[in-house]
Amino acid sequence: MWQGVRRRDIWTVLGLLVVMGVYLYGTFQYTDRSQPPNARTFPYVLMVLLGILIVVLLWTSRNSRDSAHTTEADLDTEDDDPLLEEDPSLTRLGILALMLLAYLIVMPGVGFLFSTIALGVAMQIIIFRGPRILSLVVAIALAAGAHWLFAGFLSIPLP
Amino acid sequence: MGTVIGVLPGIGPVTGVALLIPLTYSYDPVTAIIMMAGIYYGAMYGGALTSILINAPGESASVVTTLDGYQMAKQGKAGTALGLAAIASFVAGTIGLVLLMFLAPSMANIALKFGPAENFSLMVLGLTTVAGLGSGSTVKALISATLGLMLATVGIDAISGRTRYTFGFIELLEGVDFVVAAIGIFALGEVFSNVERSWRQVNVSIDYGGFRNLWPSRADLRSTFAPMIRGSLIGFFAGVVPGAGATVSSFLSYMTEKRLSRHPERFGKGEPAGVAGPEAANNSATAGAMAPMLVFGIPGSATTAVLLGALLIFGLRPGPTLFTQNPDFVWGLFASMYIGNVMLLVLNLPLIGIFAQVVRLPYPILTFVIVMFSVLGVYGLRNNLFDAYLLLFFGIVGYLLQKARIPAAPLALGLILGPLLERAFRQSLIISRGSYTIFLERPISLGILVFAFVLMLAPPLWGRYRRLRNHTKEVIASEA
Repeated sequence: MWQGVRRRDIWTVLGLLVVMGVYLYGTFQYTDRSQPPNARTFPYVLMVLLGILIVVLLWTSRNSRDSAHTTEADLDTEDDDPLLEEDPSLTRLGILALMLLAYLIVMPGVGFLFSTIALGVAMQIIIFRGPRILSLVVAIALAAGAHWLFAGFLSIPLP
Repeated sequence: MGTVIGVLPGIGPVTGVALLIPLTYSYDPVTAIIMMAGIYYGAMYGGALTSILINAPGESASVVTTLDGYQMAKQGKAGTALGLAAIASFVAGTIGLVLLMFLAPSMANIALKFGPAENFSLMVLGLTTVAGLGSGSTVKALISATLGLMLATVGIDAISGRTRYTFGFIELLEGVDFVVAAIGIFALGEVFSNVERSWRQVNVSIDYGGFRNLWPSRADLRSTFAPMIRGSLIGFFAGVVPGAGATVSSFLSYMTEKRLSRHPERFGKGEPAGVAGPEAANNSATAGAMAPMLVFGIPGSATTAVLLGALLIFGLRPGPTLFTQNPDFVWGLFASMYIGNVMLLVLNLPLIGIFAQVVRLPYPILTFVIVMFSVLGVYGLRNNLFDAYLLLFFGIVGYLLQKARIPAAPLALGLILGPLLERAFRQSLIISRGSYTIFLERPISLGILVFAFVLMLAPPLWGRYRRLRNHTKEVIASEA
């Protein structure tokens, strides 16, 4: 079944199956014994639709792999942004995601201003390897500016 | 502000408008939507600026402008190219707006006659055309739209009052907030994607020859007048078709100009018509995309999807009744778009030098600003950190979608149209007592569904036909 299918599409299908599983689990969490069309009708239609699309994706992926000619979908696989270098780093991405998670956890305790300055400094130094003093100055200036804009100007109560 | 957003690397009109929604909370709906529409316009022009000066399109609709615009810049005619792009944007914006003012009310009168079945089919048309006419795989775009529809089912069901897919989180009872999802997928997703790869700072000489060189010669204006008009018309009607939008219209305009030109060999080597036509088309498409959004509540592009989400936040429900119930809003929007168009020309030409410097803004600082504005923006919605956690989740979703080459725009569209689509679907089924054939029994509904089906299948079938034809030619040539 998976033979000849692009590896990226296999991962996509597996991810979609997980989404479908969670959605199906969620569907059974609520009871609705009323006559259709009820609250379950539309989700069922969507699940059937997604199932069909997954099969079509596998089928087209296998066929396009078999084909010697370049398809529009294949053309889409190349990155053409001239500003980006080809140096993918999942570590950098993982660190940023963890930083953001820590930022959200810490923010109610230490307040918006200090947590944002810490996030800014950490991002500049750890992810982008920027100069320390400049990173600190930039983070303080931007965090203070954002605090004034949202808390002062827009009157949004920040943590 | 719109032009700056268009110029900044990694921020397009969609991300820009999504990020700035929180800044409009304190405004009244008309002012807020006027500001966002202005940003939309400005961002379209900002994209052209970087296309011409440094060969880096700020967003996809400006890709075509690089072909001749950058070549003109290399020949020392960057000023002329920038001037032509601004004038073409102004002309197209004006034509598009006039067409929108005349066509939208007529379209609204027709839309008033639609029932639930027709509305359902129309929304299906919106979703399938976005999927079918976008770049890349149609199947993946449809998957994206389906995921958006699934997300839209989270929360309390409007008809039965039952809670669905909240998994115990009371914050999800009201459903997934569109702004949180949009900022997460577009802004934070883009940040994740760019951080994964190292960003090279732009270090180029930006020289357009000063303000005096911005005004094109009479010969240039004469030769580009017809392409501007054609581009405006192509752009508007491509913009009206949901999903076609600015990118498709700019390519269509470029191909048309090349085909009609007496010197097609000059295209790609610095032909002024190759800048004026596509720039007119992508600007006029923004006005065209407003028509289905205002009249049917179906966005014509990803940016108008975000604008639609913003309208819903302000309590305005786009649709045919918008013209009768909120005429001050609709006509205020039209008037402001015209003023925005004039401002684009008056402000942008003298400030080109400053806008061009924005390209040099260090990406690490830009990333921090985007992250900070994203978190603050979604926190400001309900003063609840749960939305910020949801933002992080959608940021990862946006990144994964990019990795899987699944376009995010159909997901956003699905999330917005989901509740309306489900309501129309279930109302139709209630009317027909559970018979699904209601969508095929009504002539208008059937016509729209057939049209949607054709639009969805046409691009892959056309591609298959072209490959088969090329393959046959190759076989014949090799045998010969």
